[in-house]
Amino acid sequence: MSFSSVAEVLEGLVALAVYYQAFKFYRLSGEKALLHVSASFLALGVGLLAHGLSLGAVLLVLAGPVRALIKLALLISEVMALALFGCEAFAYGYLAYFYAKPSQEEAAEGLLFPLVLRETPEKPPRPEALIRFIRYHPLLECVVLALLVYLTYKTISNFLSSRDANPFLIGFAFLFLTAAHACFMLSYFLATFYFTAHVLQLLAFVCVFIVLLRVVSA
Amino acid sequence: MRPTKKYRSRLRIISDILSVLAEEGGSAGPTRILYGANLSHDRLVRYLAEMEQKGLVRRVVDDGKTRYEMTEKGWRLLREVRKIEEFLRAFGLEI
Repeated sequence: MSFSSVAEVLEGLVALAVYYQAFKFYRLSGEKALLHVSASFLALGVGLLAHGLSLGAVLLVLAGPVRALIKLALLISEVMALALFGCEAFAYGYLAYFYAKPSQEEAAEGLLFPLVLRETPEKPPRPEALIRFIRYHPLLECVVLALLVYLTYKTISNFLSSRDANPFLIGFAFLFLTAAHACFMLSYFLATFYFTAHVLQLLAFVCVFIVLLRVVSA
Repeated sequence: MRPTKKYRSRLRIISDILSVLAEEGGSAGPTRILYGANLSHDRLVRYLAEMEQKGLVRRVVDDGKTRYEMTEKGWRLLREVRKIEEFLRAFGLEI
């Protein structure tokens, strides 16, 4: 869980760096495509950073002696998980809409954390039950996954037609993100996938960061 | 991948003009720019006047022949535009 928190903060920072660069290019050129890319990465960056930081804070509270704060920490965790879903759905949805546009001229279970709170100290909650505080709901995960499959198709097609290094990295970044979200979905049933998902998501953002460095230093 | 744009944006045209000048070592005559940037005469005159006003190119008359030279500001803009193009190309987009 602490790895998840650190990874999300790093991913959020990379996404915000992409937002900053894309917005800087937009101000220089007035090109609408850059505004779409920057808006998507801003949403992604804010969502990941806020979720990563709140998760870190929640872990600190859970490790501490003040039992009264645990309920509040879990509530915050659940709200931030929903916020992250909203940011991811907006970011990937907005990008997917932008890619699709020219070619075509919540249900939430509010009972989640009471279920875990009801677990007795003798029988600690299964790790899979804890995933629901962090990732919200597998059905919502499906929405993000579907958007990512579409974006992966588009960016990999772009790489296949250009055969350049940067489209390759962006294509693989979306491929890693898709695999990561598939793992996030599987982690509701087997918690070990959660770690794999974060490694894949981190790899995706490393790819995006390399593209950013290549463009800026060119 | 998104289909190629039917119409060139203003930035694309300015970038094409600057690219022609860069290919010619920083200066070229209007005819060379016209063919290189694939523009009509009227549009070329309009764009060059605007670019001159913005300090991107400088008009030089030598032995009765007009040439356009790229200024430092023009070189800087071309470098930035190439970065923008590279960034957008990574996502399968274009100016």
